[in-house]
This record gives sequence, structure tokens and C-alpha cells, in this order.
Amino acid sequence: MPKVYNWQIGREMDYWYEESRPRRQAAAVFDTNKCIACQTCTVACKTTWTSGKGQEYMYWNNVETKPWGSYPMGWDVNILKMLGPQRWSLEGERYVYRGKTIFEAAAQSERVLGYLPSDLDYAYPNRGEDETNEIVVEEKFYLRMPHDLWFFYLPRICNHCTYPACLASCPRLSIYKRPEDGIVLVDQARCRGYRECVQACPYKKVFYNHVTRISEKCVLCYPAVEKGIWPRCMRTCIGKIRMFGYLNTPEKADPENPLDFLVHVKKVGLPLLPQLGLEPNIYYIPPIHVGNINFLRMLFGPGVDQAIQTYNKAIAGRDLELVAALLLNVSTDRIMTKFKVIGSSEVAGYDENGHEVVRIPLKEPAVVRPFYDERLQVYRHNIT
Amino acid sequence: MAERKRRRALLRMGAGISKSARVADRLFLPVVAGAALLTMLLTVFHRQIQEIVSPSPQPSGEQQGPRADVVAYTVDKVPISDPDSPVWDNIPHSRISLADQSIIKPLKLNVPAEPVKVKAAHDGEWIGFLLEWPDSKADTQAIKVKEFRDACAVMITSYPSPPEARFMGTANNPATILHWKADWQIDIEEGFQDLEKAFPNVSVDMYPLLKESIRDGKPPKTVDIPEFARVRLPGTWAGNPVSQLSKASPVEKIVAKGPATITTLPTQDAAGWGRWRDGVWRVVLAKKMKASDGQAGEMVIERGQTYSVAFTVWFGDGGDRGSRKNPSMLHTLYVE
Repeated sequence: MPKVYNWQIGREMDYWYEESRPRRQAAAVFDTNKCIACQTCTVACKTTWTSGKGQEYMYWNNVETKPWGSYPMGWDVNILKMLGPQRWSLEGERYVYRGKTIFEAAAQSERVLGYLPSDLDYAYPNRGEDETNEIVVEEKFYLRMPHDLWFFYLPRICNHCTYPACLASCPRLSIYKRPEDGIVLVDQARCRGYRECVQACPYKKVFYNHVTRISEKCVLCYPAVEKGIWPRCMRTCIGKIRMFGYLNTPEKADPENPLDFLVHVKKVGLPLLPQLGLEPNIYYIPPIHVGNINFLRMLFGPGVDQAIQTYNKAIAGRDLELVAALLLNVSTDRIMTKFKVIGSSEVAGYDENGHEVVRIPLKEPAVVRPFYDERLQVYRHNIT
Repeated sequence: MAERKRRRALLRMGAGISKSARVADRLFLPVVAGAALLTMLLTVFHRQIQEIVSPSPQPSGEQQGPRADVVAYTVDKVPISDPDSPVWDNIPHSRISLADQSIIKPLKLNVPAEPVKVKAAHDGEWIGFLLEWPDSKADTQAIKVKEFRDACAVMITSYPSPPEARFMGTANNPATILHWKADWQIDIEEGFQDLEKAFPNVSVDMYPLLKESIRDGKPPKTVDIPEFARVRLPGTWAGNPVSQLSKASPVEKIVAKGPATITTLPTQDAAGWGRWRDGVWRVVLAKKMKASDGQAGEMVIERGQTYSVAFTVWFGDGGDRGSRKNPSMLHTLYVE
């Protein structure tokens, strides 16, 4: 198999095809600290793309509660169990994954290590919702950071990976990665429903349509993206957890690009299960309140400790630029390729033509009214 | 004294001899066994290589035409959709061994124990093949994620053709493939196998623009999805032959120029029908001898000519699909 470079694991790895990066890569950063699992993203996607017959069980976007939630059931633990314990090592200042990716761990007769979920695996899309990591007992139920009792929400869509397992696994060549934006698509005219992609995708984000008998997946709302507009799941986000844009490779990182800034400069955006080797392009700001750091290291790789530290610094008001970048989340539905802090009070975002598409204050202006209004002679319940 | 010395020396010698003899004894059996195993392996390997380089005609149950593995005999009328027609009874069969698929990943490495029995006939207008293979279970449904259908195929390309033509033709030797699918047949036989067939208790308030399609909700039922609602069925809307709800024939006519190149031909005039009984599939696959899609590379079949032909079977319950299949070697087909 050809060797390709995967910067997320810090080394070359085996892949079915030669390295062929798109001209630019559509990517997103999800801030798990802000997700409230309202499922608006899920519903936005569902009503847009998968309301047809045969698509009932499909959630191209879903939000699961970690640690117990997963859709399809056990997608993450199943593939991690198949892969077995693996190792990262710190070499100099960077972490290098010394274990096997799902391409390297595949049997001789297969292209990718994977499995097909059963109907039951798909039957409980919101299993484990709001369940804490342990049973709630009184002595542990007090507030400190990070929490002994915790859960967090993990919104998931197709990762539009740089090295997609679905694409590698398709013997029919029905899956392609668009050179213009890196969106991974299943050719609906070409697919023959072999479900090799369903089996290969470790994130289980390719779905088999029961009626058309071929496979479908998240299209990252490409008709919108082509017009410079965010995908629907992202622009409807109530919690404003999402930032959508284009991501460069680390050596070409542009600190003015909000995606590069979050992922490469501040390193708060981390890939989901980078050890699988797909170089996924949806990044996550890890939750800062989770008591089990090893769980987060398993999910987001060894960069978790640093990311949490940096994020905490921003919360404490000691990183204005990071606060500014995070405030741009879902502040507009236009794709921004640049952002700039203006003075020390505002942040602006610019589209690829340099037009300012959004400008927001770093601190929301608030007027504090007196609790007791002399003129009207009333007490106010809400003074801000 | 001298006698004692001599005896001792002899004893020592004897001891030496018996020691080396013991070593030889110990090594004899493993060496012989090893040599036998090596010879066996070399023979098998040599045969396999030979088989790939120049496939020899398979030993067949009955005698066929001159030097061809399969002969298409002349009949009055080919029973193009009847595997039980008495016409087939009078045609001798060829036993074609199915191999593993060890070239294009994902591979299928296990091989069915029984060969496929092949009969061929033509009537000047149609050429038909009857494939017969044991399969303990008929898998006719591909609705659930882990369900795969039974299928079989006949591939015809020119003769002689290079060995790599076995893998669905080459750029210079396009192959015509007749592909029978058990789920397509049952869609025709019983009506489109909709969602309710696999999930009888499925309950949905309504499908946007699809209300008409769930009128009775009882499987099996015929297609009643209004034309304007097909946009909700992406594969159907995109014209994918796999996703069409009404199918004219269980046999798809395909042209291929190597792995991953199969293309549904514009004129779908192939015919066929399968019947599963007592653990055996018997499937007819037929095409017109004149090529209706000649420009797209469909093979013309002429009397007195020889063609290269291969047969493939997919076992649905084994998870077979796409490249996970049991193809035969490239054989010769003589059209009487």
C-alpha cells in the first residue's frame, strides 16, 4: 500500500491510494463545552436530507452523550476493541502514534479493519442520553472541576476525512473526495450497495438506504458550501458551538484563518479518534469538566491536556484572541477565511473576497437598570 | 590381554556405529515426511500456476463439443425464463469449478465444495445459460444493513483473450456480463420488497410527499410512489439501476472493461429466471445473440464461433457482494 503522511498521528502510514489532498479542505471545530444536546442540528439535517422512505434510521448528524451514548450502538468501543490497545510516544515536542491504524491493522484479505452494525445497533439513536459516568451517589455529588461525575455531549457528522476509509474500501470506486473542497460523496448513480463503506467507516457515518438499496452519507450541504454558506447543521446551532471553514495543513497554517487558528495555532481543536488514521476534519474542543482525562485522551488523542489548559486560560480572560475566535462560532452563516480582533473590543470575520461578513463585540453590551425604579415606583425582576 | 583390548576397541566402535545409526533413525522419518510434503506443495503450486497461465478444459460429466468447456447447443426455442423447462433436460452439462477471489481486495478466500453445473443453448436469436449450484439457503432480500442477496453471473468475452480478461474483461476485450440478482427477481415476482417487508412493525406518521406510497402498508406490495416524490429516494432519482423500484428483468446486462468498470448497458433486454428448490439454485440467464448495444461493447454471439466465458456465484448468507465472490476460471464456449 502507498505511504501517505497523516499529521494528526505525526507519521507516515499505509493508505489504499496515494496522498492526494484537495485544493482546500472544508472543516469544522465543535466546542463540546457549549453543546446542550438540543438536537437542532440533528433535526435540521434530518428534515433537509433524510426524510425519505428507507432513510428512517439515518442520522447524518447525531448528538450522543458520552461516555455511554453512541449511535450506532458501540461504534467507538467496537472499533477500538477490534484494534486493541495501541501506543502514542512523545518524540521531542510532538506525539507520534506508534500503534496501528485501521488501514494497517486490516486482515490480508481486506482493505480496512471494520464491521457492519446490525439493525439493533441502529435502533437506539439516543441511548445513554444524560447518563453520568457513574451512578450518582451523595458523597460525590458536589461541584468541583473537573467533576467526579460527568457526561458531555458529542455532536457527530461525517468527518470528511483526508484519508476516508469509505473511499478506500469501495471496490466500485463510487466514493470520491472533491478536489475543490475535500467533501466526500457517494455517487448515487454509481453505488451498487455493497456496503463495504458502511463496514469500513469507523465513525459509522455511511448508511445503507433500505429502499434504494445503496449507501448514502452526509454531503456537508455542498450546495450551500459552494455558495459560501455554512452547512445546515452548523448554521442552526443553538448553542453556537460550531465554526465552519477551510483548514490548511499545519505547515501552511494561517493564523488569521479561524480554523487554522483554533486547530494549529492554539491547538484547542482536536480530531476524533485520530489513532484510527483517517485524518478526520471535524475537530473538537474537549470538555474541560471531565474527571477522567484518559477517556478524553482515548477520544481526542494526546493533545487533550494542552487543549484544556489553553481553553481554561481563555475562560479566565487571559487569551483575548482565542475568546474572539470562539465568539465567531455561528455568528454568521457566511464562510469566513479570515478573522481579526479590532481594537480590544470587537472581532470581525471576512469571507474569501475580503468582505467583512460579521463584526461582534467581545463583551456583549449590557445596561444595568436600578432594581427599584423611582419614576415608575416598581421593583424590577430583570435588571440587565 | 590383547584379546580384551581388541574386544574393547570393537565395543567402542560398535557404540559409535549404533550412535550414528540412532541419529539416522531419528532423522529418517522427519526428512522423508518433509520431502513428501515439499513435493506435494510444489506439485499443487505448479498446477495452480499452470491453471492460471493456460486454463485446461475442466473434466466434465458428459461429453461436449470439440475442445470447448461449454457448448451452446442448438434448440428450437431457448426457455429464456424457465429453469424447469424440459428443453434443458436434453442438454448435457459442464461442471465448472468455482475459485476464490484473491486478486481485488476485499477478497473471498473460501471456495464452495461443489462446482456449478452449466448448460448452454441457443436458437439463433437467444443464447441462454442454465446455472445450477447448491446453496442451503435462498437469500432473496437485501433490505437490512446486513442482508445480502444470492446472485450469479455469466461473463462472455472474445476468444482468445489474455488471462487478465477473467477479471471482468480488459480495455481491449470488453466483457458482456449477465448478472442475475435474487432480490430483483422477488421484486418482480411479489412486487417491490419495501421497507415493511424487513420491518413489519415500522410506523411512520407520514413521508413528505410520499403519502400515497403507504396506502395499505402490507408487504409485499407494488410500487406506488408518485413520480414527483422520487426526489426523496436519491438513488432512484439519480437513475441508479439498483434503486429502480420496478424492474423489468432479474438479469442486468452489463459491459465491463476490467475491475470496477461495470456499466449497465442502455438497452436492458437480457432475460432470465431463478428457482430455488431443495437446497439448489437453478438460474437461467439469456441474452440476444445480436448485440443491441454493440457500440457500447456488447458481444455479438455467432454460430460456429468460440468465446471466452466465466461464471460467478455470490452466496448472500456468506456476506458475498461485489468482489466477495466465487468466480470460475476463464473457459471456452463454443456456439453450435
